[in-house]
Amino acid sequence: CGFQLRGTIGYPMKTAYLQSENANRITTEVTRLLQDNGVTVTNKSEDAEIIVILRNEIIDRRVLSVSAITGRLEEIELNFRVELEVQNAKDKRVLQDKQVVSLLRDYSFDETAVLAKDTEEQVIKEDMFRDATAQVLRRLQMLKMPKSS
Amino acid sequence: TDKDQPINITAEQATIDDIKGIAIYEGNVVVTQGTIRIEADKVTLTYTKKQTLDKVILDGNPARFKQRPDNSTEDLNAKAEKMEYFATENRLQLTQNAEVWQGKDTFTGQRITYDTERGIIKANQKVQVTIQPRQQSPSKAPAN
Amino acid sequence: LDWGMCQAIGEITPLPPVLPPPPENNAVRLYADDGEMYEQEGKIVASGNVILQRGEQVLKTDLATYLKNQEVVDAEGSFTFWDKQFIISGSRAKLLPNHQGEMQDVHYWLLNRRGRGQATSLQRENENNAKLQQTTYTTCDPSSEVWRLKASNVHLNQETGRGSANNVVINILNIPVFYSPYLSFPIDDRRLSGFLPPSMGSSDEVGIEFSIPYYLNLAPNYDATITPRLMSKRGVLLGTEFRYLLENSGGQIEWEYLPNDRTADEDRSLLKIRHSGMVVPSLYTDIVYDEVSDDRYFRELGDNLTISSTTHLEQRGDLRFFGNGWNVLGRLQRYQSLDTNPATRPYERLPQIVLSSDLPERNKQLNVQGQMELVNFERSYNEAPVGNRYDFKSTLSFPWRTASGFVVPSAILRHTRYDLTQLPDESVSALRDHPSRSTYTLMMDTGLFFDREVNWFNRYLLHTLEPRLFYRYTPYEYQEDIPIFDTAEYDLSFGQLFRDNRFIGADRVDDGHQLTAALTTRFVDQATGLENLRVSVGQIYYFADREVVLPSELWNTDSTSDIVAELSSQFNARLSGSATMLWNPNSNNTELSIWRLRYRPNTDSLYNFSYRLRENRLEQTDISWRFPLSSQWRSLGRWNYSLDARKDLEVFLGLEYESCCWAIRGVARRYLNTIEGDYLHGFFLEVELKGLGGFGKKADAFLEDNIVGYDDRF
Repeated sequence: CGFQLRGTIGYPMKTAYLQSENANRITTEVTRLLQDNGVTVTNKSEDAEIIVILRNEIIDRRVLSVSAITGRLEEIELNFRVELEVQNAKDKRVLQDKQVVSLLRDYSFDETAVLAKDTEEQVIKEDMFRDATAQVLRRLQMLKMPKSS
Repeated sequence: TDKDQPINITAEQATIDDIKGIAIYEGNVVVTQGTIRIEADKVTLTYTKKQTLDKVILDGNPARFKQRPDNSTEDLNAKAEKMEYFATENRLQLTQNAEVWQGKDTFTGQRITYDTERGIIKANQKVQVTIQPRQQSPSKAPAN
Repeated sequence: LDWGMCQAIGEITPLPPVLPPPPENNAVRLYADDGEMYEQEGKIVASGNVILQRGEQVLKTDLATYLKNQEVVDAEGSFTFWDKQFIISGSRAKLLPNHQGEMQDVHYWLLNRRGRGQATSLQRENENNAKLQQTTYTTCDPSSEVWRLKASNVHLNQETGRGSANNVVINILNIPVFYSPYLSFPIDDRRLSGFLPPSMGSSDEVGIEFSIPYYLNLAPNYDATITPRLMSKRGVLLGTEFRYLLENSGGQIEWEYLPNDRTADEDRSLLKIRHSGMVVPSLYTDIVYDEVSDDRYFRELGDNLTISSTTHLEQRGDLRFFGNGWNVLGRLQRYQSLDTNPATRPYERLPQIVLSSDLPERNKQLNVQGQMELVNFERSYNEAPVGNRYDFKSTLSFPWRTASGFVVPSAILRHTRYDLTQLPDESVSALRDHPSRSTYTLMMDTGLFFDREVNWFNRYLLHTLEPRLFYRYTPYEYQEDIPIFDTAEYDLSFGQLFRDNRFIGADRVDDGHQLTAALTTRFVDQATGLENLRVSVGQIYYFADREVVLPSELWNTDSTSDIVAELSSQFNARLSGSATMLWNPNSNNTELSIWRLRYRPNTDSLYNFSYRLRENRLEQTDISWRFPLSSQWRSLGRWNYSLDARKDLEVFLGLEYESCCWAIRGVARRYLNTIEGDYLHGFFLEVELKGLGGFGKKADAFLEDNIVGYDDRF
């Protein structure tokens, strides 16, 4: 049916410069994983082929549902969001216009286990962080590089 | 004042007709009386029966007039292609691109009349006046 | 401020005469039909279409006297005066040097704020300050002057961008709706102290309420908002919010105080503190402290379901030091529980110390991570054991990751011990004062990645297939002698299939011997890298019964877990959806089923649908929307209905009308509040007089919570 084992994790660029606009944690993680996969991350945008801009890494927490019997909290929703934009380093042309990586998770609240649910929330946030990082990397793998001059 | 000063006129050519009381001077005519100085191409003076000056008509390209008004620090200048001076009324009338200026303030208009005695200039139709600001005397900043 | 709906400014202001460029060095040029210059007095009298031009200022009148020496212009007849920032016309004007001047019976237009109005007289003291008497001010088009401010005198200061007025009456449709002896309002876009949208509304708990916030821009890095809230059934509540930003930390303090609540006849208060930032390099702090004076505070003074359903308020202070590859957390944490049974209230961590390594995973090498936790559990409920817990946990792993898959063997070694007091008698309970437990866990996580390219609706998609197997073994360890401090079972989810412990918290280590089989498939748009569709399915096969359980629970003897299915899709920028399903094969019963769809056709319209079923817990639908009815009308709303209780949880309908100089937003609300299940009704109104600050209940925060994705900054 046409499936083959994935060959190499091919990144279309050799060098990249990462810019964080209050998205420090995910930028550091993406930088580390790019370097692990053979992409040199420069510390000056001039030396890089592309500029990856990550903005506004935020986790929103919201009451999702309330019990119809007691009117009290039942479910909490977490929404991890980060904005990704990629520019060609030479002419600042946008290679990938601004996209939002947005993940939603929810968990049920339990009045009798508040501490446990607090820890569960941290674990879910870590999972979302790893999943979002993977999505950002996947989008960078899919990047269409300009015909290099 | 200038009115009591003697008038003298120089010109290339002069024709005087005592009977009709008309005198015409032509060619680089210069008329001076006290602080008044007039330059024109043609000056026509007409006198009344009692031999007193009635009217002066000046034509020039343009005719020029200059006077240092009493208790004023700057000359008042005027130019126009046609000027008429009515001696009895002390009124100088300028027409055809008339312009009056004193220091750097200028005054233009289709028709300008100047009362030489009371120092009043009147202009009508499309008047334009440009007034330079007084030397920037240090504005009396409130002492704070 | 957006004036898009108004007439162009040029259409409502007098047009300046067309003039040649002004003379240089600030000379004055005068045009007129007739002019007289009195040379001795240095006076010029001009009449008939008189225009005075100096720099960018132009004065047009019928009769003007100009005193050359004093540089005074006196326009006896009606005049119009154009300046860069404003236009003034009136019956008489006297212009003095350096921008001073007096004008009578004045119409004025502030160009950058579209403010305009009339005044009996106006004095300009200097370039930036003007005083007006018996003034009106509005930003509406003349054709629809909806609101107008009248004041005895107004002082406009272009330098500070601030207008202030005395004896102010605000008329809406000629009806006086607001009086204040003093009012300050912005005349440009700078952050400025002044009134924020006051709000008006009514609800069963508080009766008729009116609140008017005042914003104090104290300094570039801190400001405050004071909001008196008048409530007919309760009295006057004073709300204050103080925000500050230091060099590398910042925070917010909210304090509400209601002296002598008429209905509850007691003083009531709320305190909310947030602070986070760097104390010294690599030492960070994070403080969250919420406290209310009584359990029913939110229920009675909160104004929507989200607030009134709050049950626990966290009071926590963290200090975290980051070393190189490790960090240590010091935490003090307790909760204020509202209206809950004392027996189930959470323990307090006074303190909790966690030293943990955070080394990045190094591929194809042995990785060691460690964590040590010391925590002292306190409790005011004296039938519950209290004391210290020491937990040492280390994880060894040897990840082997390649492009086509991964094999990650790992092991966890854990030792936990307790020093406890306040225990029930040994004859009656299994709990002991110094229990300890050592366990180990062996795990093997393997997965493969298969790709192929497919063409759907002539879009090239990468279709992936990702099978994964996760084996785990932890031997049984007797743990009934350990009380439960901060431990419970995880919600079953796709992520939970691959965790090393069925429990969160250190008081129980699950004796799992199991294998998880899962499959994830993705459709990724090659052009944008957007994950159009992701479906994950997984299930755990248990090789042994789970005998480690929480107190009062039975052994878990199922041979398999529920089948977990998760779907998430982002078809395009406008349409996205997700679904989660837990299906129990043994009882053929759906434990959990959640469907969610969001459609956002354009920045102004938004529709959310969701269906939520948690077996014998809740079954609800939740629909929210916001869409424009016309260029000026917009409707918004939410309907949250409980299928199992067959009643509405929260319904609100809102209408927004916006025009050139004002906007009005009304929201009617009905929500379930108390155990008796009766409903509370509320209505609030927000009127914003553009350019003067709004006037109406702060609807945005409420809407943002209730319509996912509602964002006033669209």
